[in-house]
Parts: sequence; structure tokens; C-alpha cells
Amino acid sequence: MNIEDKEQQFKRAFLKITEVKEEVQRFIVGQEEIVEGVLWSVLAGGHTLLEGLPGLGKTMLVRTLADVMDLSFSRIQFTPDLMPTDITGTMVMKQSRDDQHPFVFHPGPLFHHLVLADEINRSTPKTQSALLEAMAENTVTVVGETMTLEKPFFVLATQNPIDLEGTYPLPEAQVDRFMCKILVSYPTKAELKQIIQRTTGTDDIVLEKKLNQAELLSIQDLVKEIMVTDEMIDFAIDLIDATHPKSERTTERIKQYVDFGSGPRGLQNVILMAKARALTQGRYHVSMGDLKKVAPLVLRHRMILNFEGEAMSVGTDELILEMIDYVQKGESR
Amino acid sequence: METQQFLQLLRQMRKKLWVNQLWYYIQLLLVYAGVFALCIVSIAALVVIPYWERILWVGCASIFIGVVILIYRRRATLKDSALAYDRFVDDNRVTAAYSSLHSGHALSSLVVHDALKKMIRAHTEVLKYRKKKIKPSFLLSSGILILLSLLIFTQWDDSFQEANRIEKEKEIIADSNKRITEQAKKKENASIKEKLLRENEELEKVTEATKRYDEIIKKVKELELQKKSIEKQNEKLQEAKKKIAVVENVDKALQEKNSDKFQRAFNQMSKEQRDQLLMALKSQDIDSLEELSELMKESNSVDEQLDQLAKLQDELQNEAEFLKNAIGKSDTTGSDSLAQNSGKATSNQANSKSQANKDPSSSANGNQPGNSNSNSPGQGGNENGAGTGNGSSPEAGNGAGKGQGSREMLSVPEEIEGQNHIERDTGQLGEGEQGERFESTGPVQKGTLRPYEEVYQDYYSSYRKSSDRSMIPKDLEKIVQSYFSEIDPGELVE
Repeated sequence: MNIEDKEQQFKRAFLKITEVKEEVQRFIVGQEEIVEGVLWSVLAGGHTLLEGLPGLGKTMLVRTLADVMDLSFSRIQFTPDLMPTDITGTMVMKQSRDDQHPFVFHPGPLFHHLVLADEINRSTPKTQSALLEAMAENTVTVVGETMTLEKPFFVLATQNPIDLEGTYPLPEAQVDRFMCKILVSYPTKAELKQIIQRTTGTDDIVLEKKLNQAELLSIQDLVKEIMVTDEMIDFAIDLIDATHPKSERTTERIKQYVDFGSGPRGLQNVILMAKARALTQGRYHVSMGDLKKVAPLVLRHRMILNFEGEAMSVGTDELILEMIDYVQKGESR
Repeated sequence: METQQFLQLLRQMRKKLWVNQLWYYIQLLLVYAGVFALCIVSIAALVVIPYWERILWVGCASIFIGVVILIYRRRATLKDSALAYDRFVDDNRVTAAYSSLHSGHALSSLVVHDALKKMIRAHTEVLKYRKKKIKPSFLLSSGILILLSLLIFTQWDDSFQEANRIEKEKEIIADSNKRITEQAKKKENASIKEKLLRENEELEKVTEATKRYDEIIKKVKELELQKKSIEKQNEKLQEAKKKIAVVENVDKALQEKNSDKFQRAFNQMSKEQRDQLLMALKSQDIDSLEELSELMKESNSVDEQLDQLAKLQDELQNEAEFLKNAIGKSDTTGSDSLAQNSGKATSNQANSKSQANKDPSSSANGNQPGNSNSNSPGQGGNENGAGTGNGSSPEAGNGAGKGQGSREMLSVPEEIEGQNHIERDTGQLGEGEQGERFESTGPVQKGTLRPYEEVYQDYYSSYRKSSDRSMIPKDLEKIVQSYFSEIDPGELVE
């Protein structure tokens, strides 16, 4: 493929993404950053953890995205009694006239392109693990038989930050499987007004499908082609290094309040998500702005505060922004 | 094509950056130089540092070279230009494009194309942009530093003048060393050459110009003394020869300059003749024939030795004159010490001159007149006591002044020991010439006039008594002897 064709391919992808974004925002009021964040994550092929109070439109956002991208969608409400097979599917005996009753696999809700794992922290670790296998390997193992999930496969899990009694918080290793964590904030008054106008009237918004499965996979491939210069990689590395409290080149507050920083997967995800953002901006390269924009989303669930940080209610985002500023000023060198 | 255009724009930006850098570093240079100047001037104000100005200039030159190296090393590159361009173009497009040129990425041309588009759009803005070249903080601080340095320089003048004096003194000494070495090299006589170089080696140890001058004068005197000693021995021999000439057959023996032949000639004499000869020798303080033969041996080379000594003395004397002139011109040392030596120098010079006149082979440099004259009367001579030899400085007049004044009469100072008996004839002077009366055999009272010979005798006997009581170092003894022979009335008559 010559460079002109490549340029056209990128342009088409950019247009498609813009259309998807506009279509989603036609239905979802405000939440622009959240929509963008989820979109970047999907384009980069990562899973997303959405955290926010109930009723903020998390499920609606995911459903809308699935509709606009023409992806199959399933929603799993995680409860303490949810079993792994409830999400993965199970072998069931098939009735047959010839007296043979073979076991056939009955796919669970994971066998969809877009899976919404609602309140993931309410289920037991066993069920969470089944989900995490699917997230990491894109496979599901039932009765010793491993089945591959169809691409694209995204999990968008939600967490409720309140009412934590009887919940099973995800262990750090499992949280690390999510490419990013997006905080769903409360809408503004103007947005609330718009929400009321759109949802309580008689008008029904019909969403158009702007993308299909194949196009999405193609765009995912284009994301990987985006150029990242050495300077940008170095900057991302410095960022990851600065998340560690034992690093000599980090802020004092990180040294004081952080117990563990991000691992290499965090770095991979920063770069991938920055690439996805670059594409959504119509660029062929990753910029400093991309890295700065995606860093809080990718790193906030990878930085574990220590007891002092928790006790002082230190905000991880605040630490990350401080750290970005520190690294950018070159103080880390 | 696009790549060339892209690089062209970067080069334009680089030129702008170079100009800015140059301005920045020139101002930085001023600050550094100011700091350095203040440090050096402050230290030089507290501690006397010879050649502090040289240190200052060398330091400033080093800072200049350092800054030039710094400018070269930190000169803006195309990458810096790309970074600078990125201020006018969003999303690090230019740096990404520049990096992509070297990375060979598949999307490189797209990245460059994209960046170039934005750069052309931002080009007018880039051209309009003028970075502030003058940094007031730099200029102000360098100005303050230089002013402070000047203030210290003008207020602590003593240290700087002292440093200046030391510098001049060092230069004088170096010149003197060089002169002596050059003179030595010119000499054909190996012995004189060697002696002169040896003397210079000793003189090199002296670090002060006045002390060096003193040292040279001392050496001149020592040479003078050596000459006199040789002359005296020669005279003694001549005298002895006259005395023993009365003894028969001794003429023939005396004609034998070879001492062995003289011994053989002596052996051939009769016992009576031998006794006569020995008696004659004893009358001349020659105790043995060995001593006589020794004297005879030495007498063979007397002329040569005297010639060598005179030449050496001339060289040193000339050097002393050069040195004195240089010190006088440089106005570095106090004139007092030099003035005290000056009289002695002149006296020696006179001796040197007489010797030079005796010796036709000498270069007769001793004819140079003493170049400094005192305005004050010397204390030594009470008649025509215009003693020579104060320095050329305006404060002249403190010299001892025992130069060429008459020494027939000497005045014993009245108040040398405090309470004294002072007699004074008071009253108005009448017409006619002023006269003085003295009695050589009368009791000595302070403030009275006494004959020079008498004072000399007293002085000499005091010296003999004290030298009998205690040992005097050999060098010093020579000097003292030289001094007494110098002021000996008998010598002066000659």
C-alpha cells in the first residue's frame, strides 16, 4: 500500500471515529471526556473500568456505544451468588431422538463483543477470575474445554464506590487487567436539564450504526501503526518510573503516600491509549498532549496508596497531575 | 522535496536560535568576568598578590575561551530548532517529524507532510517573533560587579602598589640575572666566565632587588680585598727579594723562578750565606724557605690573577650600577638602604677605577661616575664633607657620606651616649675666616675635633681587642679587614 492510500485510510478512520463520537453524544448528554476515554480504550483494544455513583448513565453509555458500533452487547449484573458458569456458559445435555445425549456448550453472556460487567466488585473472586481470564486471554475454559471469544471483545466493568459492605474489591493484579479506569462524574445542571428533556418526553432517539465489526478491527490495526518518537517513549517511561515511591526521580508526595506504582503493563497501556487518542485527533504520531491526557486514566488504578495516603484521603489523580508536571519540567532527569 | 523544505525551515529557526544564544552567552560572559574580577580584586586588596593583573586578564581570557567552548558545545541543533518551532505548531508535530526523518517509520512522510503544512501556516508568526535579547538582570549584575571591583581597586591602593613594587623588583632581578648570564657568555676567558656564572647562581637566591644590590656590592668588596691581599703578598715578596739580594750568590738563585731550582741554588750556598739569607727573610716575616718558594710560585701568576679579579669586579660593579639605576627608575624600594650603600659603592668604584687604570687590559668600566649625588652634607667629613651616594630619590640625604670628603679631622659626636660634658664657645662671630683648634695629645672630650689617624688607631685597636676576644666568621673577617684597609690613613695617602 502506498503512502497516499495509507493517508486515505487514516482519514477515513478519523472520520468514522468522529461520526461515532458525535452519534454517541447525540444520545448521551455531556460526559464528553468519559465518552472519549471509553472510545480510546475500545480503539486501543483494552478493557475499561467505569467507576461512578448509580444512575449516572454508565450502562447507557456502554449500550449506546455498542449500538453505534454495531457490536453485540450483553450486560451481566454481578451479585455475590453469581457463578463463573453464569458468565462463561456451560455444557448442557442436548436431547436427541437417537438416544444419544451429547453435551453441548451453551455460551454465556461473555460471548459478545461488548460486555458490561455491572458492579463487578459484588461477585465472588471466583467469578471475577473467570471474567479476568476472558479479558486477558480472550478465551473461556469450561469443563476443561477452552473456547476463543470473537473479536473485538471488550469488557466495560462498573464499580460503585459507595455501599461497599459485602463486596469483594478486585485485587491489584486483576485491576491491572483493565486498560483504564474512568471516573463518571455527576452531570452539571445544564446537562441534567438536557437529560430530562431527552429521556422523559415522547421523542425516541434512534441511533445510527456508524461502524461495523470489521471496520473497528481495521481501525484497531491503524492505531498500532501510529508513530511514537523516542522522546515520547522516554517521557512515558519517566512517568511510569515516577509512579514508584522508591524512585529517586519522583515527587515527594508520591514518596510519602504511594505504596506501589505502575508496572510495565501500565506503560504499554499508556502508549496504546495515547496512540488511539492521536488517531481520534487525526494525527499520525503521539504527542506530549496525548500522553498527558491518557496518563491519569491509565495510571490511577495502578497506583496503590499506603495507609497514610488513604487516611489523608489523598487523591490519586492529584498525585498523577503533580507527577506529570514534575516529569515534564525535566526535574526527573 | 518536502523533507528539504522542512529542513530549510528548521535551519532558518536555527539561525535565529544561534543569534539568541550568542547574545545570551555574551551577557553571561560579562557576569562571569565581573564575578571573577571582583574575586581577584578583593583577594588582591587583602593579600598582596604580585602579577594580580596578569591573573585577572588570564582568568578573563580563560572565561572567554570557556564561554566560546560552551557556545560551541551548546549551539542550537536542528532538533532544538524543531523544539522551538513546536511552540508555534501544536502537538509536537515538528519534533515528531524531525525524529521520523531518522527513524524511517512507515508513516514518516505523512508526519513530515503534516508538520510542514502546519509550519508553513505558522511561518509568518515565527518570523514576527522576536525574543528579548537583552537581559537586564545580567547587565545590571555585571555592571554592579565591575563597579565594586573598581571601588575596591581605588580604595585599597596600598596592596596594589605593593604588588606593583614586587612585580617591578622581580623584573629587575630577572633582568639582572639575564644580564650577568649574557655577560658571562660573552667572556672568552673560561675562568672569568665560570666565576661570573657561579656568582650569578648565588645571587639568584636573593629575591629582593636591594638585597641583591647589597650582595653585589659585598662581592665587589670581597674581590677588592682579594686583590689587595694578592698585591700585599707580592709587595712582601718584592721586599724580601730586596733584603736577601745583599746575600752573595743569591741573585742567581732568585732569578730562578722555579722553586726547585731555587732550592738547589740555596743548597749550593755556604752556611754563612744561608744564615744571612734566613735572617733577611725573617726580617720580612718569612719564616722558611718553603714560604718563600710558595710566595715565588704565586708571584708567577699574580698579574693574571689581578687581571681576572679586576675584570670580575668590573662586571659586578657595572651590574651594581645597572641595578641601582633600575631600582631608582622603578621607584620600588625605599631609597634609604640604597643610599647607605651608595657611598660604599662609590668608594669601591674608585678603587676599582684605580685598579683598572693600573691594568691596561681591563675594560676600564670603573670610570663610570656615581650617578647619584647627595644634597646633604655627610656626617663623616667635617670640612668638605659633601659625601656622594644618596639614591636618586627626592628624599635623598640620609647617607653616611664618608665618600670623598677630607678625613684629616673627625668630630666625636656629642650626644652619642646621653649625658655628656658639652663645651661650647658662644658669642657673635667676627669678621675673617672661621678657625678651629685642636690638640692631639689632650684629653678626649665629646664634641671635640681629633686627628683622623688618632681616631683610626683607637678604632683599630678596639677592633683588634674585640677580635681577640671572640671568633669572627671568616667572610665577615675579610669584610672587616677590607673595611679597615679602606679607611686606613696610610692607604688613603697612597
